[in-house]
Amino acid sequence: MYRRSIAILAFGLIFMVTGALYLENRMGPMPVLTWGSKGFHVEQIQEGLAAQGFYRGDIHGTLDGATWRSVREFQAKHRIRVSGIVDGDTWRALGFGNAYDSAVPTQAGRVVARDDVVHLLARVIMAEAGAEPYVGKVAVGGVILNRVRDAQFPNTVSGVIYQPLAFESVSRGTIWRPVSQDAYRAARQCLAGWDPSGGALFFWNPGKPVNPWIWTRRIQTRIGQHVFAR
Amino acid sequence: MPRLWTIPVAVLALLFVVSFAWGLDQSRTRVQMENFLNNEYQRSFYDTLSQVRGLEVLLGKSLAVCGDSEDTRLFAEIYQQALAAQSNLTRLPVEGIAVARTTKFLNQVGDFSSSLLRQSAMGVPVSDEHWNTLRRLQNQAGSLNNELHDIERQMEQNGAHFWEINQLIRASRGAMAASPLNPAQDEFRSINREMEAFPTLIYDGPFSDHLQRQEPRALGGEAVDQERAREIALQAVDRREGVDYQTRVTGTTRGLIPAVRVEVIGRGGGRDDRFTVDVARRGGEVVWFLNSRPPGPEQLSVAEAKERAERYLEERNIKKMRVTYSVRQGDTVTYNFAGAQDGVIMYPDLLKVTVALDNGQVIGREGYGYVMHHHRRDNLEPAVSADQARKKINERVQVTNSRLAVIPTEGGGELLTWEFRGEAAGNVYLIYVNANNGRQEQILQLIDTPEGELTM
Repeated sequence: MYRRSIAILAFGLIFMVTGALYLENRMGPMPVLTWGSKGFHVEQIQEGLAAQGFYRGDIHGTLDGATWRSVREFQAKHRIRVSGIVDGDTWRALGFGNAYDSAVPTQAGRVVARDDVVHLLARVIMAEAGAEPYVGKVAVGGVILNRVRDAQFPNTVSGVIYQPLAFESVSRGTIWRPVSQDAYRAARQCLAGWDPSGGALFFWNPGKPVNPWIWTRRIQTRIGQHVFAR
Repeated sequence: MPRLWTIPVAVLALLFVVSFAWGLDQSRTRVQMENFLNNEYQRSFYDTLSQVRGLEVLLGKSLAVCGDSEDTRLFAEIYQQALAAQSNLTRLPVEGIAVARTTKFLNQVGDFSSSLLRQSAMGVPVSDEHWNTLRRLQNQAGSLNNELHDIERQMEQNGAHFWEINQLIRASRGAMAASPLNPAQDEFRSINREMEAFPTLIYDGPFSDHLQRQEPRALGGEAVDQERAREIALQAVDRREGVDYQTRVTGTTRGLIPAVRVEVIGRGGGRDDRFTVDVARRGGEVVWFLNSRPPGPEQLSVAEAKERAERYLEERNIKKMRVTYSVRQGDTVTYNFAGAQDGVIMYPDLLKVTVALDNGQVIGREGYGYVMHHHRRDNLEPAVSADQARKKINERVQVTNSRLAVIPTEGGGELLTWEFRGEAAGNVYLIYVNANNGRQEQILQLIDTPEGELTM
């Protein structure tokens, strides 16, 4: 009895420690997905594969057998190592983390955009509004640019984004996850001057816990899950 | 033969040693990183302190300026210190709201000083009103300086980890001890009170308070109801042949141009259109719209896309717009149109159109500039001729083209200028010379990209 309980305890501990070390390696900016992975990133993979015709199932967010086979087909077609595991090369081949070069002009007083600004904006848009409709993504970008233009906030895009405690996704580091083409498109569109937020300086999801004072701000509009206020 | 139970005990002991070592290592790394981070925050704090102190002194000196162009150096220093202080302040580990008012103060001081710099360079002395403003700003800088010194003294005594810096800065906003449930609420109330006590600052610069209260000029007429807004939205979007479109109102927007938000959805023909349109409440102008559908592989040339954009505007009776710039973004092209009156280009009346290169559909339109600024201008006669204005241009620049143009100023106003396109040292420039007093107002440099195209 005594011996058995010690044995169980020991093996349990070994299992937990190895599990923790394994997970620690997995948590990084580009999540590596394998058979059985679940979550938002799997949905992104499934959507990406479906758009190219490799995947014909539902977008349910679990990497099942059908998804795994589609990944392998995709990898074979694109001459990546066929493993069924979605890692850096596969993400890039699917179009995440690719941005075509471009620059947006300046017309007296507006932001001059270069690639670095597009990339930063797209990352924050993806992290904060990845599940939002396209107009909602452009609006989030609009809020960031409105802050740059406002006297109460830093005067550069990077200053606004990296201001401590401003954006939860920045504090958590989730802005370094893969970015979809939609987010890049939205970043370019808001740099070109579109602002669906109506000049807002704040946005939040009312379904999530927020600081109550934010409700004292003047609400400009609502798009998708986000409320925009000044 | 060893007893069986020694094996798991040995394994357990090994595990304890391993996790203890791992824990120690983690703890040491954490302390190192904390030190590194605290040092960064402390540096930002001390820099802010030093710059605000410098600002108070410089503002004091500005009250004794002589009224000649030597003053420009002083105003330039104030501008530089204020902006540097603002940059360092916003690096501190506090919520943006706790320092928003202070950031605004610093930005406005810098901006105000910049506008005084320009005046001083033209030989205009500081007016009485501006002198009083400078004195007031010096007092404000002084009280900010005191607050920061208080925080510094407390940091000296109690240590300066970033959470302490956070607490000290929030507490200095004059708030009572914050309750654990709503930590920022009390600070925000006291910040609000203080903000109301400071008068608004109005001057010719981008951070001036009057810019918040501009009235759109191209809106006239009566309020538009939901039914009418839906009709307007339907007419405004670029509909495809043979597709049935449905409209519905999804909400409203407040802000500088209050608007009704309409969704126009067209299903069919392979891909669905989903337009979101903002129709101004007063007058019914379309402020902007966007089509959410991602564009497909390109089938049109850029030249054809430009024709589509121009045709789109003509069909909607928006006359006299000229393309001034275009930029290609993968599978779409965005054209910037500026208004024109009597041959003079009106840059403030800006209208942008995005065309998709798969089927030539206009999938985006942005007319905020147009709605805010479009009106008939009165005096478009230049006091200075093109040749006289040309003398202002650096002789190394090869001028290739010139025309009259109205440009927006930072403070929300407008200027009639001569626009010269020139080249020098492999760069392409747009130089704007004031058509009334011959001064050079702006230099724009065209950044050469394979996808940007200037049309002049």
